[in-house]
Amino acid sequence: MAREPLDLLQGTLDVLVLRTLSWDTMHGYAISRWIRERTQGVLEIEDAPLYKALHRLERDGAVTASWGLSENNRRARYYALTARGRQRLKSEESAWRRYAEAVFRVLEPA
Amino acid sequence: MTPRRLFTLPWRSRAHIATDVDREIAFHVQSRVAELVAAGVSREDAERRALREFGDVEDAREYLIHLDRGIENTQRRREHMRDLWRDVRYAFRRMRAAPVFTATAIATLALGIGANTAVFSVVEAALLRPLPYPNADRVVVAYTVASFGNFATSPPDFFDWKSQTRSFDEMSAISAYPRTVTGRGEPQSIAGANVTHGFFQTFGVTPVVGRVFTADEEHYGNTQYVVIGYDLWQRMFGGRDDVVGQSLEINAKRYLVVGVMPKQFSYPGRTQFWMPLAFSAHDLETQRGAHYLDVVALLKRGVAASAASEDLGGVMQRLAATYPNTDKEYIATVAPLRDALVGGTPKRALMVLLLAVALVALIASANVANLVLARGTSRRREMAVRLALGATPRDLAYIALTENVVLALLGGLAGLLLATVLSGALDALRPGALRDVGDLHISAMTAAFTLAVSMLVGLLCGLAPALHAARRTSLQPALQAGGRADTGERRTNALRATLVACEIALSLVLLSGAGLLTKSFARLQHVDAGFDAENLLVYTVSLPEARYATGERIAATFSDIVQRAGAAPGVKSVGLMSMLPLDGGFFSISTHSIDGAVFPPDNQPGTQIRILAPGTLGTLGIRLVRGRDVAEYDRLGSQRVVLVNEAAARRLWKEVDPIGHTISISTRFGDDTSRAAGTVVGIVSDIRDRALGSPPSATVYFPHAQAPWSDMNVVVRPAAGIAAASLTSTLRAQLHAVDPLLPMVDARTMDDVVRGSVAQPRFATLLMGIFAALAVVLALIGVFGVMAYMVGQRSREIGIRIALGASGGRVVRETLERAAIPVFAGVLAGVLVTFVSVRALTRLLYDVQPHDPLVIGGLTLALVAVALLAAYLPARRASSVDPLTALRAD
Repeated sequence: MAREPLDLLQGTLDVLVLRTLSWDTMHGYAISRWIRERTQGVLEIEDAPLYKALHRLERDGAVTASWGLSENNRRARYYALTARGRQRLKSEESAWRRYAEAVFRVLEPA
Repeated sequence: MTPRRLFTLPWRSRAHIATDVDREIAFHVQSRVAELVAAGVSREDAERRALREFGDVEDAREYLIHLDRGIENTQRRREHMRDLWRDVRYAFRRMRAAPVFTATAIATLALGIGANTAVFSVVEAALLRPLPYPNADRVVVAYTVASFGNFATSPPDFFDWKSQTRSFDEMSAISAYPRTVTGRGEPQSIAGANVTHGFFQTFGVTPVVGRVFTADEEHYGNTQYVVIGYDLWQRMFGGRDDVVGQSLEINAKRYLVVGVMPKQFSYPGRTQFWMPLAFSAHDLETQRGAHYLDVVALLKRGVAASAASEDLGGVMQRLAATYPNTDKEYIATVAPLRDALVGGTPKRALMVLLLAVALVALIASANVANLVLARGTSRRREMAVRLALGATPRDLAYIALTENVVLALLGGLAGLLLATVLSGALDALRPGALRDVGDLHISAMTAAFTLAVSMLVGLLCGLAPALHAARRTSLQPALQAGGRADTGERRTNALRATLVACEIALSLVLLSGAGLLTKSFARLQHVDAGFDAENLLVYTVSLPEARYATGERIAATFSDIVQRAGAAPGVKSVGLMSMLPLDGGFFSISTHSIDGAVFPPDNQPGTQIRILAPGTLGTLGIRLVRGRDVAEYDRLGSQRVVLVNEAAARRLWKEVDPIGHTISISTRFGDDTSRAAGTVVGIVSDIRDRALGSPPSATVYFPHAQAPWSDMNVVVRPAAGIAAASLTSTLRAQLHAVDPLLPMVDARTMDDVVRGSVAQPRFATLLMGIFAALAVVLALIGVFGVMAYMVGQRSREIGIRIALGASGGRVVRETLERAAIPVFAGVLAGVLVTFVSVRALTRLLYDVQPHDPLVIGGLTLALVAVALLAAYLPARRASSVDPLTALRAD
């Protein structure tokens, strides 16, 4: 059985995925590309943990998955944010902001 | 409802989940490669880069598959629960929509299940509930067995058993009989027991106050200590803790209380005080032939009762060889305490009743299944619509099953209430053997049993409708036909006819069982007991040894009691008898000699011994065949006389007239040190003394003046027009005029005694009768329902035929002929099953063969007749169908 990587990245990834899906229903590849574009390559994100995060979120009821057709007419697994996922995004986003602000306050010269 | 359910997507298999994961990853990698290639990267580089960006594919794949399987399972479970809940709610909604159907079904099920609950509660109290002693599972009863039955043991045999067996941790002898307690309120007769060392240890009970006897207190001659029961403690000592050291007067002797037993301990029977039992060396030398001790023992851990029985049997075999005069041909054996308490016949009766109620439950199930089917037909359009909307036949079957299980659970609840309400009546009906073992109440185990039966019944009566719903796959005809009959209907009708046939068959089995038991019970009731039990008052008087030490005193006191009772207003005559007939007593003594010719010690015929007063024969209505009754002048010092009954005359004297011959028996009475003996002066008619169903025992009657006995029953025949029971208080006053400290024990009518002797067969017969009646009524409702439905269904066809000139009579006849098929098929099957199953009754029947053709044949005909009548009522309606209305219908 695979290990569950429990580092900072996991929580980060969750909030990024949820945020991405808050715009639209997307398949995994689209989510990956979207995040890569938005972060402009700053974050080195592998796709494997991304998919793990997606399926975990599905288990937790934050997203639902269903098969649909992609832009080039291929079967792809689409993910959509649920009400519970939206709720979770809200709380994790604010937690993240507080976290980041705290870090910035330390880093910024007094 | 989840989207999955909406489109009825099948659940994903394990392989399917793996494929989906692979497909998702492949889509990602391929999309990335395509994008890179489009941007000008070579295909080879693009693939390498895409894989690197993805990370550990194999690890991710495993992780995702595992995760998805979990998701799938959770969803599946959740959805099942949701479906179940939805079906249950739906069931409730539909029950509310059809209140008549629902009420009928629940009432039927309540009767069927309630009967099961009631009988099970009796079984639970008697056979399943643990006895309230810490060592209950290891306590056994040890007893002697002779050709005439099981009986008590003697002190020397007991001590040899105790010292020579190896299977027991403890063994204790008991001598139990009621004694008179005085000095604390009214004198009362209370059950007490003398017990040898190890009695309390055998049961593992410890006193709630004080202690049990010390070794010193158990020594022979040291007769002043008593352990009392909880109830007696509450009643006579107000439950006070300083009871230890206080005194209690038993049979006019003072005893010091050393301890109090817990509430649930009252062995044997309803004993409320225990005193040490010890024997002198002389007793142990001379009493090997004196059988009056009951023995309980504690099995060593891991030793089975059967092994212990073998052990004890071996010891007894050696004793029989060593002491042939007293122990020859005796066997010793042990039985688990519960078997000794309940007995084989009540146990068998309970098993038969349990079987009977199971059949009642089956019939109730069939009836409800029939109701559901009838309703199912009118709901076909709804089912068809559901099918059209994508429900599978399995979904419909589930809905049908859920509905019936919900219905049965409600029926079970009602049945439980019914059984609770009726449990008081049932308790009063229980024979004493069952009542002494445990109180009757609806326990958790009984409730659980009821739940299980309800589930089972729900599944049973839902099964046929469910299968039926599942099989109906073509919805076209159903939709087209609307709510009315069509060809598919034929199968439903066949199913319903089969159910009715089953009901008829099962109810015939029950009816036959009840009929046989009733005939047997009637035979038992009509047995000529040989005496006139009607309107006789009986009560027991025990003279305590301490105040009534000599035989002369005892005889004089009883004469006084009889005389005073006889002089009381409203009394016609009074008698005395040591042991009432049919009261469960058994007092057999070996005959020692006849006319001085001593029987060989190994061949002394046993005879019942009864002691009576002059006039007792007349009071009881026992006939004097020849010679004379005992008389006032047969007293101590005059010639010793006896009466014998006809059975004894035949057995002991064969062809010779016994009058004028002498007989002696191996026991002594009162202060007389010689063997009890007498010249036969009269022969009296036989009476049924042990049980109405057992032949009379050979009996020798001694006059009480010559054979004084301290425990006698007074028998009072009231004057014409006076009820026996109304004399009780007058006679108590007369008794207290003789001695105010003598309690009037067990005052009751002789009818009560006789009734008590048949409590067990009455219990089985009455319950079986009730269950059979219930079964027949349910079956008749079944027949009626099916016929009424069929006539309703075919009213158009009947209308056409009447319009074409068929006579009403002919229509009725043909309709009846249809009904006759399931009725006769059911009867045929029922007779076959009956012939196989009535064997179970054999040992419960008196003077009736289990295959009694009159009973079975008669009841079969009766059942056919009422079943056809139940069919005729709706069939008659067929003839009155108005062709115009029928044709216009729909």
